[in-house]
Amino acid sequence: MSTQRTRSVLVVCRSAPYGRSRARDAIDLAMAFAAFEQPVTLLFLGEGVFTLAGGQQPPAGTRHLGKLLGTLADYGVGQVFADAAALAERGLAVRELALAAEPAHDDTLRELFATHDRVITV
Amino acid sequence: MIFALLVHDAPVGRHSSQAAYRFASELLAGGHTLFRVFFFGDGVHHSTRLNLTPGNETDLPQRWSRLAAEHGVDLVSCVGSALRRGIVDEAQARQHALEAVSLRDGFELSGLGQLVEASIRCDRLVVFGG
Amino acid sequence: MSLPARDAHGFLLDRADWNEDVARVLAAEEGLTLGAAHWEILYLLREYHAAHEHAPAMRALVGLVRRRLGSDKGNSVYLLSLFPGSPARIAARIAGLPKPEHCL
Repeated sequence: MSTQRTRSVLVVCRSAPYGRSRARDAIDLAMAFAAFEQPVTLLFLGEGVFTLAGGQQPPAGTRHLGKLLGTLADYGVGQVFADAAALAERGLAVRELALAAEPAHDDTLRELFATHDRVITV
Repeated sequence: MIFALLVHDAPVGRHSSQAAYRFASELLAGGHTLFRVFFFGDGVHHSTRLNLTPGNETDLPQRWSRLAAEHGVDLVSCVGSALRRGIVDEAQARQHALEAVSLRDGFELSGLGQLVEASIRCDRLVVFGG
Repeated sequence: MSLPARDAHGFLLDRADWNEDVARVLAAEEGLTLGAAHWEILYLLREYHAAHEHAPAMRALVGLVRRRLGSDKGNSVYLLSLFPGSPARIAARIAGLPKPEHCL
């Protein structure tokens, strides 16, 4: 497989963790693209911002996504953003998140969608 | 134009899944190239050989398989997603001593690297589901 | 000694069954005798797994070792010298962790 070309990828998660596999899928996708040297940005919108919440208590037998998020940097996923409005609406303070995600306001969100070659929303 | 599709929803009860198949057929009919369809998460259920679909509903697994046979489309289900959901090919069945093979002809199990490759090689990656 | 229960790939079914004696037997299956250099990596892996519930794939393992033990050790060549073949997978097995996941 040729990895000489890269296509920047924005992986967008709009689903809360643990109800379905969506949030986990988003993290796996981001890790895979990064592992193959593609520039990846992970963005959490809407209910998806709960994936970043500190103090998660996953159901027994489920992966702890807050802990898994801590591995993203190790795979080269540099940038994690969260919709600032979504965080505020849900009472999630940036400094209490499981991961140092950057809060994104509308202009940043627009730029993220505009500047990535691929957008994968789960 | 070269397309690749990412299918994330199961075939049953999800409008996006029907839309994915229709989109694939139409782009092929329109003379475009479909480089790969990658099934991920619940989307791997499109690759089962064991579904029994009532006659008045669309049998999407069968439709995909036919599309692959007629147009040489590469259909790949994510092996990690598939094994968790009981979609198993011969190699995995043997390796894990599972009693049946459930992957439909025309599909193969592989890793997310195939999705990454598709993302690099195609002009447009279209995501269905979510 | 008889080993605790394992899956088809030789990974412990219950991580609570791990101890250093078990690790030595698992290593011997690979033809490896564990020295200080091995233990350093194994315990680093176990710590990582405790924090993240994740057994790192090769790239992440190299990065982890580099960050914690420096670039003399945080490279493929060094890790391959300790755990020939597939360091991420073999070290995870000997450390009593689950198999690094498929899709990567």
